[in-house]
Amino acid sequence: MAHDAERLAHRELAAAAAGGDRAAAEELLGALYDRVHGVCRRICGNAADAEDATQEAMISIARGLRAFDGRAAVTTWAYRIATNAALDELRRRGRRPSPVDPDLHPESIGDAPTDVERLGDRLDLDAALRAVPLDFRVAVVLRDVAGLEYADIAAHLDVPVGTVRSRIARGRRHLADLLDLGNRPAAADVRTDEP
Amino acid sequence: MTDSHDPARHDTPLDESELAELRARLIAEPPDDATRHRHLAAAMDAYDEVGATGTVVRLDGAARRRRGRTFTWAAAAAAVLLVVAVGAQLAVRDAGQQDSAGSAAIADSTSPREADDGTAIAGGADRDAAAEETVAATAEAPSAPYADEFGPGAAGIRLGAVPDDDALRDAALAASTGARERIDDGATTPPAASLDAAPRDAAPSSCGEHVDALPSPRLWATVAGRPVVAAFDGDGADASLVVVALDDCTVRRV
Repeated sequence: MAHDAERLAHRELAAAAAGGDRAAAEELLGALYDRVHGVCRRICGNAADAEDATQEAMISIARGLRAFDGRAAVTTWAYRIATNAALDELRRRGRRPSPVDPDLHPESIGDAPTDVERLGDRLDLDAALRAVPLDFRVAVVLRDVAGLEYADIAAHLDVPVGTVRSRIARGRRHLADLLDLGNRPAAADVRTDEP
Repeated sequence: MTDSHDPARHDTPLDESELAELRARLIAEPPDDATRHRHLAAAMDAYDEVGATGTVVRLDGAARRRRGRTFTWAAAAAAVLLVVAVGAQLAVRDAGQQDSAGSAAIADSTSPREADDGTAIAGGADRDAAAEETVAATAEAPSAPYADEFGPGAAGIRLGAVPDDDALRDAALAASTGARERIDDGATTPPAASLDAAPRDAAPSSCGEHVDALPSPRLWATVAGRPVVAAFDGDGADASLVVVALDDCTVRRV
């Protein structure tokens, strides 16, 4: 299966990187980058924080590669670091003014309706994500963005699998209601509970 | 529009089409190429840096040896972890949370088989002494012997900053990678130590004599919410780690 082949390739690259193979490290980091960013982006709920978190996560992963011994799947390990980096970033954000997403500037919005629609979708999604309690949000992201198994999420969050299932179900429902999937949500339906 | 305020609705699973749409919406657009290149370059710099500074230090109980030399960077990294462990013990003792179940859980979580971020402890006997003298902290929580010695809380602790010494700060940062606080029940545990809050001004005057008595270099850190200062007293195999808790001026010698 492609998934198994990818996992094997990652494992081989990680082993080579642990042994000092720079090219292998570079290839592996490149392969992990979009996944790490995806997790950070959805947990943080805005582009600026996600960028910072992604950079921190990638640096941590790169540093950890030298000691990585393959006991955990590379992607699972990377997602764990990415999650921690994103949560750290959210915590730091609580101590400073909220970043301004450059895409919010009117001049950055294209004239084409599709651009406006896409931007609207993005803002809706970000606002909806921020409105979902953090524990639910993290569980949903690890499942529906990272694609982790329930057991891996439970181990990562150090909670029972049943709790993970509950958080994912509630988080999904919360998001689906906020986004009113398929229909544009009314602005009043989306509120944030984070700074 | 659905009624999102209906309590019974919270547990209603999404149907397949809703789930598929949600997952599609959650796919993040990757950042621009310049950002990606910048991040990857920074990561490769970190990879090269770890390779250039040497190897990892095994910090289990048996390896907590002190070489018959002057203060080494490896000892500095060990000191940082010891400070964390002692601070954690102080915090746990104050909280009165020690119980056998907790001990078992922590002993498990601090197993040297896998650190908190999934990174296994590496290095050890086959590493040469020269390599160990370099800054060599790795991503790991205190290992099982420390958990036994210091009790619950020895894991999941972040390290404090040592702002006046870049090498030590790097060691603390590297070590903290493996000692991030657990994500606990959705609410993230407050950082036990803050990398940007070295409490140099936190020492009350009553602690001054204890702090002044510490040899240099000293490690300043906030551990488990408590400011501490620590230093090795003595050289070589006879050196001991002295920890001063700044909030109550207690002194511990390890």
